[in-house]
Amino acid sequence: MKILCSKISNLLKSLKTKSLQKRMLTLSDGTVITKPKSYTLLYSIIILIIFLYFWNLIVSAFFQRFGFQFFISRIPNFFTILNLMISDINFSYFERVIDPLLVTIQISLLGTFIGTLLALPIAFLASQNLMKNSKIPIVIKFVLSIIRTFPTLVYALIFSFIFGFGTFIGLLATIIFTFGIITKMMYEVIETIDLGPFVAIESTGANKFTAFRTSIIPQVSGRFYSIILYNFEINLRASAILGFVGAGGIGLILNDQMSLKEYGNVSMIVLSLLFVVIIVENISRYVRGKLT
Amino acid sequence: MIVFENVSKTYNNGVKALKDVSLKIKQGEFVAIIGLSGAGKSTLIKLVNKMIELTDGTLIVNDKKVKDLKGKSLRTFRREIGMVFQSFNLINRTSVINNVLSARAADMGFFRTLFGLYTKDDKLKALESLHKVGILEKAFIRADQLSGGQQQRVALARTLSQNPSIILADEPVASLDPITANQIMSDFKKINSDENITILVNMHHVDLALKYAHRVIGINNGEIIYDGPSNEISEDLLKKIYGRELTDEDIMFKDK
Repeated sequence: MKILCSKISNLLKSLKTKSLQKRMLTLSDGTVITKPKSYTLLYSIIILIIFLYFWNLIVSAFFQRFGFQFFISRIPNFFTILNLMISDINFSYFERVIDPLLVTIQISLLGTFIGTLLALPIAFLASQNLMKNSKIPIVIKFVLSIIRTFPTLVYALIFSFIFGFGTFIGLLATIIFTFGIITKMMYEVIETIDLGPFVAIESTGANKFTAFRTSIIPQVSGRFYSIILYNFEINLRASAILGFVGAGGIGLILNDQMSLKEYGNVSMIVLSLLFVVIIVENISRYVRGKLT
Repeated sequence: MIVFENVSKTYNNGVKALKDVSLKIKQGEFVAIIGLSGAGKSTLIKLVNKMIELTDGTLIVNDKKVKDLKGKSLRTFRREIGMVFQSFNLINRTSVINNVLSARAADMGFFRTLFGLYTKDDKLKALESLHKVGILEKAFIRADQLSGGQQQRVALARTLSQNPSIILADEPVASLDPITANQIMSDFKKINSDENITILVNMHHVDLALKYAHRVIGINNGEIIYDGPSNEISEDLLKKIYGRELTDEDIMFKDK
């Protein structure tokens, strides 16, 4: 380890003197100008070292234990399952998918909507540029990062311990998760906005809320719509997992059919969900195109 | 009426922007404040509606001690004072009329503001303000599609719809071409004479200031060098205000 360290430091030293020589440019009349230092190479080396270290930790460790042969030999199994899912796809199962799928859409839609309503005022209070010299944004950001630490699944689990199983649990979990993410995405947009109009409205004697509503919202609404739709999409995908803890929706039957190894039914469920997600993606793209 | 009594402003970083300034501006005056950038023009203007706070002295605007205004009383006070900016500060992604209406939102209740419900009376007033500055036909166009001069007119209409007794203008023509700048200045002049609104305008260009303002205040390094009628200012005084010979940069219409 010591030898490695000294080697690295020697390497860096030689790089340093070399870069100094390279940075001195001599013009035709003999004037010497020195370019500012560039750290790109140094940073690249650091990132490479970190990358190799992690690679060694995870990937090399796996191959050392099981061998490369094992890895290669197991790859076809993935395609076997995939093949089963595709060839055995059971279209008639759609009848059974439709109701849970609707529940999933309801949870996601309502969860996104309520989460957004809660997020809007908090995003405003969390924006450091609007709340000058205030500690409120720092506190809110701290609480938000705690909220975001837990995935939807954990919230669903916690709520199911408290309220029991069902769709309502899924909704609660979705609301909290959406709130945590949307608020962050919103205040990040607000913090990059040109504050001129806000100052102008404040100078007319408006309070901060009025100035926010009249000058900031029109400027960010396009990006807000796309954030909201993106979260709706995330919530649809997350619903597949929510069912695993009994929080209702499509995940419920997905969990059942997976444990029954009914891959034909599983693929029908996945296909239906994919279909809905693609529709939402396209609406989202359309809205973004309209608003920017 | 605006009264500065020995007003000083020192910024947190130690810069003394204004030093012991005293002056009196009567209702309906058209005053231009000239000087180099960094001389304290902007500071002087922003003190009037408390966009920044003074360090020492007393400032009385419309019979109110500006230093004592806070929260609700400050906002009520600001309703009386319009402000126009160098970069126009319009809300870009919305229509011209909504921009003008935004100056009336301060008087509305929470739910009206939340849903953007302006009354018919508000809308008519907004359109009238646009008419006064001659761009009524642009009312339903998005603000960012207008030229710089048109945008500054919208900003002027926004300020007018607020029914102010004083308009503060911070370098309103600095980012405009000479011809448009001239038009905007005559708009200011018209508003001043038609409605008896006090106009306090910062500018760098000497020729425009002398042409339109009745009274000129020359500032150098936070101190007032000249305060008097615009037609009595001498070449020597201008040199003192600018601390150097006047250059092309200080004149909008160079061939003059």
